[in-house]
Amino acid sequence: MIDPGALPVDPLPQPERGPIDERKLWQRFPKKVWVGLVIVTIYVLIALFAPLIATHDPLAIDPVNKLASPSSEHLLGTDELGRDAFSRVVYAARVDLPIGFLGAVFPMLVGTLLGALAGFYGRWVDTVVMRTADVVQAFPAYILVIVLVFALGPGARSILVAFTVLAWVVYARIIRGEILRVRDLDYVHAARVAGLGKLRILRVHVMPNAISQTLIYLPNDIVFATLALAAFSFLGLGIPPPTPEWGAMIADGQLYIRTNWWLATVPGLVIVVLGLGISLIGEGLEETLHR
Amino acid sequence: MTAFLDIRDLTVTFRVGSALMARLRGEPVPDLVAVDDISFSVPQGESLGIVGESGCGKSTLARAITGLVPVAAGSISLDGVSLTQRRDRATMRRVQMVFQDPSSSLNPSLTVEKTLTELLQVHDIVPEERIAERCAELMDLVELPRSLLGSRPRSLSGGQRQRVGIARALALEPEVLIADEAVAALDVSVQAPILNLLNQLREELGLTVMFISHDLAVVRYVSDRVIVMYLGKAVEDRSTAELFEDPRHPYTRALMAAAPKFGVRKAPGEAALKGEPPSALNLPSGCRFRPRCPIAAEVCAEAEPDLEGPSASERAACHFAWEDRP
Amino acid sequence: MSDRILEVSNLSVTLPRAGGMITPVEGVSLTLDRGEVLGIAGESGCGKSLTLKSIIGLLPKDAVTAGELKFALGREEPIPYEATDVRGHGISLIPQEPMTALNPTMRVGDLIAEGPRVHRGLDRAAAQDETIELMRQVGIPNPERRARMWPHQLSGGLRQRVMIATALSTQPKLILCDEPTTALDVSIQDQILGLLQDIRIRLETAIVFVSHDLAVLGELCDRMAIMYAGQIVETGPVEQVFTDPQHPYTEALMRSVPSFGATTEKLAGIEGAPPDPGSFPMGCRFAPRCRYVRDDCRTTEFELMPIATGRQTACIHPELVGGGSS
Repeated sequence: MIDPGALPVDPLPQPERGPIDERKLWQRFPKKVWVGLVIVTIYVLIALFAPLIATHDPLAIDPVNKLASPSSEHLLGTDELGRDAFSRVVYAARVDLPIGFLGAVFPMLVGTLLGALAGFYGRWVDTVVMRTADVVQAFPAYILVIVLVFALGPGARSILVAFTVLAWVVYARIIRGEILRVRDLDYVHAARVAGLGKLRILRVHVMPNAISQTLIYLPNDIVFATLALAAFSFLGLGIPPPTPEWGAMIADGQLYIRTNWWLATVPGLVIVVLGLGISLIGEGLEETLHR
Repeated sequence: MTAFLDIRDLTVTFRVGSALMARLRGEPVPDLVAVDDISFSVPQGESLGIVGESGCGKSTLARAITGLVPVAAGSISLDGVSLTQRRDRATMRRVQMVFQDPSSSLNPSLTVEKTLTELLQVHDIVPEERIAERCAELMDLVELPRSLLGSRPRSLSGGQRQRVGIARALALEPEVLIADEAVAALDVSVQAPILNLLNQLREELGLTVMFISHDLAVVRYVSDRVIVMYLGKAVEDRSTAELFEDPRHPYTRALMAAAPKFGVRKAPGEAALKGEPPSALNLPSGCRFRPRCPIAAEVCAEAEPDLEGPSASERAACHFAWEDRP
Repeated sequence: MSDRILEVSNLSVTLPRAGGMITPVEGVSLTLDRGEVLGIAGESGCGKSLTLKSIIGLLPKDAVTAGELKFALGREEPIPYEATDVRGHGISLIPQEPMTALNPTMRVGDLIAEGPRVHRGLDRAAAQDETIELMRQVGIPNPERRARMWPHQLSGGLRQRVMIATALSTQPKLILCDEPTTALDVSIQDQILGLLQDIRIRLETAIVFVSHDLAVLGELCDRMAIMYAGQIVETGPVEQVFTDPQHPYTEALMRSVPSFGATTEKLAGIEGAPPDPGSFPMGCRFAPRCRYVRDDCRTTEFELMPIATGRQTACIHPELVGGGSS
């Protein structure tokens, strides 16, 4: 028998509660992100406070004291021109960090802009951008760098121009792919049906949801750029002496690998640890964004 | 009774191959006709159900009416205003859509409030100082707690997201609401409240509703009138009551027979409708349902039947649909 | 030789999630005899898919199961088994999405032939003959030609038939169906259900059919188990469960579905949402949403109790449900 008192009359359906991500900001990212962030911050601080941390003038030559072993006065000894290796490693952060960072961010800005236009507007814009990308990619990278360095002279500017000209292609492809995916999602259709303008749709609805792959790739690319800078310096195409730069220090130090092995190894380790820190951030971002 | 929403000879096509290659080969341009010469009118305030299986063109029809896909031929007009020419912003407001998939119908990076606010701002629906209040009113309208305004879609359940989708569609105060499989992706116990909400809103706001669905039972529950589609054509156009009581087109009958019903056991090896629909690129001659039709005759291969019947609200596209009615 | 094919006793599945453990399947017990079709009904998240996957050992690696699974591998009584013993040897699975369940890099004929070749040691020619025969049996027209096709060249209905043929190729005693018709059109679903009915009658195969669609279950199943929040809350012969539900959730589900027969009765829906597996309430898990709830519902420990031959319910006040007799 039904108990009439138990039956609510036409109840107002109470909407269901969904899962709510109520964790604090610091809980939302995996631990590795914070470890990576700490590492990178330390490097940034070292670069910022280089004059306070370094023990000597990194450019000060002391040929009498060349290739000294590590001591209390020279923490990492001296290089082949008697310059304090420790101070050079520290000051090199002021070169490698910005160039590594900008060497990824500039291509990102250019590539993302071009790729977004290609993906969103399509047709001939797409064709022009993508075929240009194909041509650039087909070029042997090192030849292009050599040409640019010869044309513009060695230094940070040529390196950054070279990176931008070469590396924008990947970003363009990434964002284009994502935009093609997002463009067809219902909320973009809804924005069109609502009569929103194309530019607004691109800015508010498409880009924020297409950019995650780019952000995941960026830390990796910073590592690549740092390593590329080191490689170019190693080949003599990068930052010219006497400016301290980790890659150049590895190149110079390799001659003395049997006697003063730390001259090449320490800058190398420094690059590796920085790369590790950045990679941890990148991986952690990827895990968070892919959940 | 003037037609409020009037569809005349509407045809929508999609390019499925290379036009260039076809022209080089001297072949006709490879176009798939998704909606083929459809005509019907919807009086203001009516709830029209469009029913059919995949590939019948019902979703394409919905998208053409909302302006998402271009029209190849024919016209769509709303209260005399053409919807097939380029629509201005004010005209676009008048026809809005509720989408099927709650997981992709809302911008994941925006809160509910931002989604609604954007529309209210761009269309100047209410003055700036009233926007927040209007957002709250919209939430009330779809029976969602106002506290969810600050939530992002990932924090909401499927039913809640669907309600937000309805609120978004209603934010622009449209006259015509198109629901494209609006409940198909929801759990059964959640579908019912959404359907009830749509019915209720239709009455309260005087909306004209087009409800697209593959589910006959759902369509029956929400519609005054039903159009059945098959391979791009409308094959039957009747009031809901009459359609379900006395279906005139063999496809409609087969569809109803195929739908699972409580208390009916499935006989082994039997099916209400055998075979599969042919490819839209390779349609049979005459009536396109002919290869699968239990009552197909010679005339069916020769002439494609028109959608016609005793009155404007009773039409079927079959040579034998009205045989017993002089 | 017994007729009993499958025995599931007190099955629980525990999974790690967000730093803790959840138990989305708890205390599930089922039995199945030869040629019988058992339906498991429930909405998303109730644990029905996981239950099916446990039977065939397709749970994620970090899942922990408790309870007993017994299957009659040979002709004896059901005995405990390893998943690898039964896969391809006695139990087959037909998954939900025919679009993604077929390996896109294998021709359809090779996919079907794989089972007989690997598990029954047939040579290429014999397997090929059997493949063509199986395809014919499941109603695939022109099997010789189709066998050489790739999955993407086939429609959803045909792909599902290929899945069924693959499932049959190992001559199973038990076929597990995980919403096999949910992604298909109504008319195709009708055909597939007819095919399954034919298979179970002709080959005496037992079937466990999981679905959220009660009407579909009604057409095919002999017995039903209704699942809610990881537990079975009601079992019984399918007609009895439909016409005389003994659990408020079953009743509420029935009232949410726009049934083909009913017309103007307003659909009820169910207030609230299923509980999150991380925080199941004490006592009856449906109590927060139950229209008949009493105080002792929240305190009495859950137990699925027999109330008649072949009928069980977990509700401690079944007499309240729908006015039916207990």
